[in-house]
Amino acid sequence: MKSTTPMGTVEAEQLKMNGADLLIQALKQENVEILFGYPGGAVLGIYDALHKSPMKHILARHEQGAIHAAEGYARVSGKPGVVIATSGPGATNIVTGIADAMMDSLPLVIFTGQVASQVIGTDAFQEADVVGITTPITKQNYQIKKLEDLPRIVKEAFYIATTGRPGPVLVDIPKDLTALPTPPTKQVEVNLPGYHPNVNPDPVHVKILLEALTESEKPVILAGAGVLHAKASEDLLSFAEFYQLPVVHTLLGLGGFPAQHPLFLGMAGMHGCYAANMAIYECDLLINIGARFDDRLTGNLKTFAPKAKVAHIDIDPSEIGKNVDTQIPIAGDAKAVLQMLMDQTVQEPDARLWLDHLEQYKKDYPYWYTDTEEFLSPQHLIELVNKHTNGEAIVTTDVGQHQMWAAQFYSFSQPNRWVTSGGLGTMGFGFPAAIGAQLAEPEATVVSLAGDGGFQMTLQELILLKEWNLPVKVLIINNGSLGMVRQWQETFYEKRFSHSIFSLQPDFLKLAESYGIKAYRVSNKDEAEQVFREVFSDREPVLIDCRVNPAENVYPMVAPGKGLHEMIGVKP
Amino acid sequence: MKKRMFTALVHNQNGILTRLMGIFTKHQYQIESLAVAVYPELKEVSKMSVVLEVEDDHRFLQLLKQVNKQIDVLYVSDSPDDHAINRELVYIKKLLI
Repeated sequence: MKSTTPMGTVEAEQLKMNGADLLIQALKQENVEILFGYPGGAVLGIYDALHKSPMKHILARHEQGAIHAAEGYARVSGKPGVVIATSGPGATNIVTGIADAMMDSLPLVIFTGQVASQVIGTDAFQEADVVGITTPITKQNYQIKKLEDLPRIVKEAFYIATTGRPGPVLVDIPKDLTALPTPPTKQVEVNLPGYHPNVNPDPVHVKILLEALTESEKPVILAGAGVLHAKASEDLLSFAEFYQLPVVHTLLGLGGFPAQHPLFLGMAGMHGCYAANMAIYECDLLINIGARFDDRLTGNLKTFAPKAKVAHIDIDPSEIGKNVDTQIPIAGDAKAVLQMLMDQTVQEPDARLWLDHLEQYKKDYPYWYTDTEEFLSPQHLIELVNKHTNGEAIVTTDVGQHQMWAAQFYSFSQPNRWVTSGGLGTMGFGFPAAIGAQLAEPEATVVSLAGDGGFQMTLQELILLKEWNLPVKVLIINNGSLGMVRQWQETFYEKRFSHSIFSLQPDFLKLAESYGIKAYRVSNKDEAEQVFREVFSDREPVLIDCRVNPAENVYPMVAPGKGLHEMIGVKP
Repeated sequence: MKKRMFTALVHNQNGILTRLMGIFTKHQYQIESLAVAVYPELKEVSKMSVVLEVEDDHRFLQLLKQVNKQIDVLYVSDSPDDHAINRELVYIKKLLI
């Protein structure tokens, strides 16, 4: 019953408020629209408060599914993904997702329940030191000691997760605090004297970069996910076009620059394309924008860009000079720096010969594969997906061969369409991430490309497609093995396929059927073409078991310890 | 191998010491001496002095950057000055005895 006067209503609400309500109120203030979680003993209070709230909550079937879905949501929407898990096993089940988000700089705010304050440290039922466990894999984490701190801590958590270099922030809440009666929040301020996320780029270094650019004969841009986080794709396009600079992407940066653009060379790195890797090897000026020179990108550091002056633009100053000697360091947001670079114009470099040279590489040594009649080749399959989705779908993957084929053969023309586990390389990431991506963009076509190994790690989330009517297209690139492990065993362990080939597989069609999802199996080009034509024209969830060539490998490849110019498996 | 000392001013938040010590472990540094105390004039802030053996200046710089990057670290400075380090070590020893 509501009171008769408006003032009376407010007072009555205030009287009823407890710690859990305070948390929900704080989430509303952060404009949270959707939560991914799983209830349990220590978060009963929070779920009780949620019961009264209209906030959308996605009940995953495993906490790992919840956090990967939140990552997919964050990657596509640019908003923080919010996760709730209970204490002990609930919290330890999300550890992989937290580490994944930390590596790939995804904004997550995670709330974990904790046992009651009085019994913390006594090995109480479902107790785990979650703050201790997650310290090295969070941008920041908290345990709430006093309820009055909760509104400030929640505000700080969202602020830290989404500013500067984004990352996961965890807030651990003891159960007793959620039940304490409390007055509603007043206006709270963050108290972070040591946190300065807005770095002002040094105009002197920006000028030095422009001077180096003018003098350069072989410039190249290496663009990473920092471009996507900064929403700087258009700025990158203007800069590259204005000075006619070739662009190379990292794995995570794909989509930041349109794949069909004549200045785009492709992805660089271990399974990057010849033109991109050779551009880095031969260039005299390497402009890194928002990439962290990961070891899978650089190959052997001794022969990485050996003739180049290196400029590195990064919002995280600790990344600059970490792996690669940098002559022109520019700490700052990619968008801000690109705009500063465009504010003053200098003589464009005379790089016509260089561009022609790279164009020739592109023409002579594209990604390639051998087509056989006997088997469906996985590369062709990705090309078909690209064709049927016009290169506009949101594509998610795990890690491994299917991930590399997707990166090589899908033409990403827009930013934030590519959701993959890059840094941590997490199997089981892609399918739940597709669920989060579809929730972030209900109208988009979302394709979950999964390996048969990775899919079996988080397949329990299939039910969510039915439950929330999410038209995700799940394609299992089924080679009956852990393909990348098998490839390495073939190449570096004299074909001793130790535990990388599955002797038994479930019937994926029956599995999908049991979740109420229609399913197909395709094992040749014609079947794939026919099924894709059908499923990509409707808005239904579907699972397709794609039986591909089990012996196919990912090429080209830079073997471990080798330089980018020492690729094997380049198109003959 | 030479001794290096660095000093960090940190915002006194739950777990900051663990967070920083974790970074030392991750970067494979062994701490020779560690002193932490709350600033008497400013209860929210602690001063932390760490002495360690350093082989590679580049790696040490990466460690400092990682420490400096933490949300609750206000300021980091390092001193390669042997005299200052020895003075600090003597001071700590006195406190211990």
